[in-house]
Amino acid sequence: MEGGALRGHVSLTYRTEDERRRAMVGFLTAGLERGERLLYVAADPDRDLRALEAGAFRVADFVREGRLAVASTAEAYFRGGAFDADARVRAFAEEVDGAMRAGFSGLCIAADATAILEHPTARDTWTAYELRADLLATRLPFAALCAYDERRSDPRLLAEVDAVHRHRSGGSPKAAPFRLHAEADRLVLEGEVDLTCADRVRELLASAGRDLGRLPVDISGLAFADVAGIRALVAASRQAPVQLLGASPTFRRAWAALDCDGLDTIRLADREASGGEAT
Amino acid sequence: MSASFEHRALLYVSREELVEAMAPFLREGVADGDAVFVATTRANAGALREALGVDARAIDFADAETWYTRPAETLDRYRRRVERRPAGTSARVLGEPTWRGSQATRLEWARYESALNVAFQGTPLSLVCPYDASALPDSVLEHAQATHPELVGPDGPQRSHAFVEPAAFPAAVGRPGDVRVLLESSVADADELDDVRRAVSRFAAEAGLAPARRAELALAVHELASNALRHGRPPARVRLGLADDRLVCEVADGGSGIADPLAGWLPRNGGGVGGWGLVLARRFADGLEIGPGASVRVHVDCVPAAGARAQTTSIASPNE
Repeated sequence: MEGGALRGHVSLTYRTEDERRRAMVGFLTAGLERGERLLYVAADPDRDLRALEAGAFRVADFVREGRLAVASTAEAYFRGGAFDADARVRAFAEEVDGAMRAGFSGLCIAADATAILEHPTARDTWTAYELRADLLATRLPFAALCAYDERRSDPRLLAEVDAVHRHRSGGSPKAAPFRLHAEADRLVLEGEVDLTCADRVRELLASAGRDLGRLPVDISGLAFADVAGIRALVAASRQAPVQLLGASPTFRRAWAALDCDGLDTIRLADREASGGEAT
Repeated sequence: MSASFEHRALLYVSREELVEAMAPFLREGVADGDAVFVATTRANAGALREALGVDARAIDFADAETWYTRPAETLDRYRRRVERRPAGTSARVLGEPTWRGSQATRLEWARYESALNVAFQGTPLSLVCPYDASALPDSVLEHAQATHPELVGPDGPQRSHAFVEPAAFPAAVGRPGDVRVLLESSVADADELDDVRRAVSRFAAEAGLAPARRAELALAVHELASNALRHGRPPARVRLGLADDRLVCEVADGGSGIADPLAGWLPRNGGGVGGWGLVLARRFADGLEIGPGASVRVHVDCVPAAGARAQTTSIASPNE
């Protein structure tokens, strides 16, 4: 497992505690080498300290120096008992800022997020939150590994969470039909969006749109979109205007057939104009 | 200037006859300040231009080859063009489809001609559709009289006694010929629709369809199956088959079927049950036939590749 080779926003599904600890420590080790401030979040972090020590972390020293913080999932995500996505996104941005002011090159987080998928107030908002975290990772020196216990998580939810991470490290949950992740200047929507996941895509895009404002969405890797999928894009654009980049010829023709080409809130960029519309 | 939709067929046997009948019609439109448009063969367009002289400059011409791509797409082009005309003007059109393709595709063009009567009802548009009676099959000429309320005669327009109300036309012409069903499957859940798409795409590839048309056909069949699951009575039965000149996909369910025989022709009616799915399916097929019962068929023209799949297999992959 080479979690350390990946930067940005990475998801991991694990089957054993040992697998999880090795991946999380590996991820933080890479952050350490980059000179980042480190945050280790697990359900019971004290039980992981040995693994950290084995990974050449002088835990006590690092904590004293402010180089490493260790927290439980409850402390990190459920302050006040509920999960507040907006507050968490703001907090992360502030923590990155704090790390920079303290002389670190950025912030590196390894977190076991399994408990979040089991938490009633977090479950519904988590995927959207993860997408916003992905967005944050493209703009700030911020790296995060989110680990999920495959044995304990709802496979559908796991597939969805996986869909909003750019990279996947280890594990192989049943893939969601689509993937949605952030690049520095755009969101990238790939795979297939049909009636089975259209509502989810709409919610995710709408929630990302709150952070991004005008939202370019690259759909050059979108292999399939049905009526429900296209309507989901249109509906999301009512929250924040959307520009679609790289639409395929089939998508363009479907777009026109559904009378979407006169809409104000969402437009196809002209790239890939493949000739011949006679109107 | 026409206050409402006029839709007439002209059966002609020579180019001279076509020009003689149509040049005055077009010239009158120019004189009235109508938005005048002609979509026909290059040869016919050339002859009309010559006869019209300077008046031709006030007329938009389109090549039938690029204008008459697929029936529902062409209807939408006309709709947009008519909507774009200058405020307060009427539209005047000479439109001559190519009538190429399989018999099933020509039937869709006939349904298109019939649907125009509904699509442009109340629109100030005067449309004449010339038919080359010296070259076109009898069935096309018969349908011309069933789909146009009026015919252009030597003494002006006359009622077409063979006209059939648009809502009754699709049932009156039925659906064409035998299809060898090669692939059949039952779909009970929307999660299985991706298997259907892949099966259609594979089947179409084996039949020799180009990638863009495969993608469109897969989308069309997906929408029909999705409609059957959501608005019909599941499971949906999907059958893929070949005829000599086309690939056919049929989707059926145990419900009562689609009530509107003109479903899928008019984007403006897309708000109805399953409406946009049918709009897309019709747009992406060379023909779409509703019924009998709760079945819908789409086809695309192709000459099936030699040795295309000979046995019936199952669509859904057994990966429970």
